[in-house]
Amino acid sequence: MFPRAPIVVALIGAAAIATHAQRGRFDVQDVGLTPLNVGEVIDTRMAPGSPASRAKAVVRAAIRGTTAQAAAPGRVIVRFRAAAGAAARAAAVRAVTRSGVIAQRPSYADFDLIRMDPTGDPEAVAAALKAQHADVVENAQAAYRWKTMFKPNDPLYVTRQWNLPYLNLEPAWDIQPRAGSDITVAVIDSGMAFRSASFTTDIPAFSVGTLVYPALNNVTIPFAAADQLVNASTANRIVAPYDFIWDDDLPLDFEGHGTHVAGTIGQITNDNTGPAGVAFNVKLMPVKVIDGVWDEVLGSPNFATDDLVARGIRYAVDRGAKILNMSIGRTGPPSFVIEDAIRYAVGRGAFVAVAAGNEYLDGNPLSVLAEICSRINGAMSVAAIDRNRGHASYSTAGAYVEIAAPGGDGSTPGFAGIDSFIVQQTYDFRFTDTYLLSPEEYRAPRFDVFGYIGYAGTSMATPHVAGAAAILMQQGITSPAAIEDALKRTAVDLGTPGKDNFFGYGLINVRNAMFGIGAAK
Amino acid sequence: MRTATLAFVLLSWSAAASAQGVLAGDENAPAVALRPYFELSRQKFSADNTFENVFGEASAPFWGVGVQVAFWKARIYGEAGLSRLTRSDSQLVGERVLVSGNSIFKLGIPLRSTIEPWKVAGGYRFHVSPRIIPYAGAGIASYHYAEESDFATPDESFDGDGTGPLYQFGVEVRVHKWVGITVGGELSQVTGILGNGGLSQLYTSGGLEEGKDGEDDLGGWAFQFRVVVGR
Repeated sequence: MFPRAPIVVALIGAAAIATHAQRGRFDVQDVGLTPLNVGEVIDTRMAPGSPASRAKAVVRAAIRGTTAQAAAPGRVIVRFRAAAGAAARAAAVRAVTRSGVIAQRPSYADFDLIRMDPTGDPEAVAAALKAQHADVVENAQAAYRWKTMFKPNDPLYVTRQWNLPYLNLEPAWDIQPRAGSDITVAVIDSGMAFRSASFTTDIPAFSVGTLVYPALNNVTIPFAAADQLVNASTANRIVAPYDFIWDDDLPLDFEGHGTHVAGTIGQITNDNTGPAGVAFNVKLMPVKVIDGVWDEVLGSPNFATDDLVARGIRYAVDRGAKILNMSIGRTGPPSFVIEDAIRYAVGRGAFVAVAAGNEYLDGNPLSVLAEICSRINGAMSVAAIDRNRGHASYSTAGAYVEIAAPGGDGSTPGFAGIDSFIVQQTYDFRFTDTYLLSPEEYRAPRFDVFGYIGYAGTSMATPHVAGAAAILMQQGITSPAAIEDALKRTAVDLGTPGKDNFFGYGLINVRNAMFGIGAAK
Repeated sequence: MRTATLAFVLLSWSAAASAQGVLAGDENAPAVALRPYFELSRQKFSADNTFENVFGEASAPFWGVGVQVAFWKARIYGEAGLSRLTRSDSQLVGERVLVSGNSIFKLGIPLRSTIEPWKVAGGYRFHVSPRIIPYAGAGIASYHYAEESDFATPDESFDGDGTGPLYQFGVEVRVHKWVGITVGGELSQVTGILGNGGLSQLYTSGGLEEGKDGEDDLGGWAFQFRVVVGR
């Protein structure tokens, strides 16, 4: 797992109540209430010249740039005066554009169309018709292009999520508004806040160095679903959840990492709440293969190892996942079971996105999973860029880096705090990581307090690629190798021209990857 | 190669016809006859892989109009004509594709193209009998081709022209003093439009296994049915 420097930007709490079910040696209780949470973002007032205001300006500029309307070539709309005869109309048109002809009037039109040389300037022709032939022409204009202009109304999309416009996503959503609704993305990670539950259990005493944390007996640990991942209208988006750490079907997230990653892939979008996700209609399959601190404190029977991860990959594919997001990894010796599992996944038609690693500043060791994926068409290793589209300081570099996506970086020049991170909904770690408190303040954790949290890491970059792959697959690119090919060929080159060790082929461009080619162009 | 073959066939046919004494012409024909015509045709594109994958069909129907001028006892003819697709809005509608390796994925993004050929040709009419008149000729075909897609930016659309040789042959059956019906074929080779971008370029450059002969020719074989008015 590659989280890096989580910071809290918002919080709100709540409680949970219960009925019964069994989970391993714990007493698991279903919660029938509406999931709790809802975040309130840190003060968003923006002083002129502040980093926040600059961020907003960047986002606005990006949005305007992608929605600018252009005049269609070779076409002018004109309304002739009724008294003007056909000869006079034709003469007026020819006087301003030699190639212009009046087309047959289209149905449902109270105007005419002039077809003209597409290399000509339709705005100039329209202006000339009005100015020079007012006796014949009542009005004229160029034919400006229309399109749907989907821009999510999620407030954090505008104020915090600098990362999504970097992918050229709005025009991609225009083309593919279903945003992956037929595609299941497996989040092979630390679990996911996908449902409500509560445990009643005893937490044994443990030590951290010289600090001794006391046992907590008969405590209730509440969980809630992240309401920006699952709510009443999207309850069926969760597919075949499984927990390989506890060997059951309740992959609750003790870390918040998998929940954050899932948010980048498929955060509920255009609901006037919180942040947006890349492929916001996908189905999500939580596959827990990473154990957190609480898993270990509570005595989980398994922990993250090659065999477990390999099984998780195969499980996800066998249960119908078409995209696998693996914001996880390790360094060290190679693993044949992992390589076999990745090849199995791709062979079954699943695209795999994996994190390149966060160890650039720690000796830049080779990331085993990323290296494997770089050798398999249909699996991609993802590096992280910062808000300046530069190499994120931590992002592992190597010939096996294939592609780049926003991962955030707390040390990005020009951007302070949350504005340099990737913001999605997940737990407020101050309520989950209570083992970071002093033994005197130590208390049972709770997993029902959510915020819109900034994370940075190649873990955060990877789900951008997974979400993009889901959109491409929904668009009809059903082969994992073809998805990889499209993402590489349309990536925006960064750094050294051509493929390089920091960015691979560059920053993904979802719209261009899905637009393809015509017969002649 | 195709051109040379066709030229050889036409020359052979002319020689054979001459040997059979069918070059006499129509003694009653005016010195110069204007013969407007209307035609329906179906063209199988030489760039068949490109059209098949983008538009779902390797051929397309056209309607056309033109005028033929016959002289020297109606033995020699010249003609000029234009044609348009017999489709709604005179457009072929297909979808954009993504190519990876030798796989082609249809993306569901509508792509509309207009193909507007015009031609100038001339040739010889063989008066086999008063009612049966084979003909063969050659000329120039010019195509205007444009394609645009939903969601495309202006620089992602295409609009261009291409020109190339045209060869035609067929048989005209005189069904009335003033009306003839023609059934024939036409081969055109129109370069300068396809092969420089899009799927046709991939085929032309050998990027795809199929179509190794290249798909830079917007022309192809056309089967024509024509009604001619005039002597």
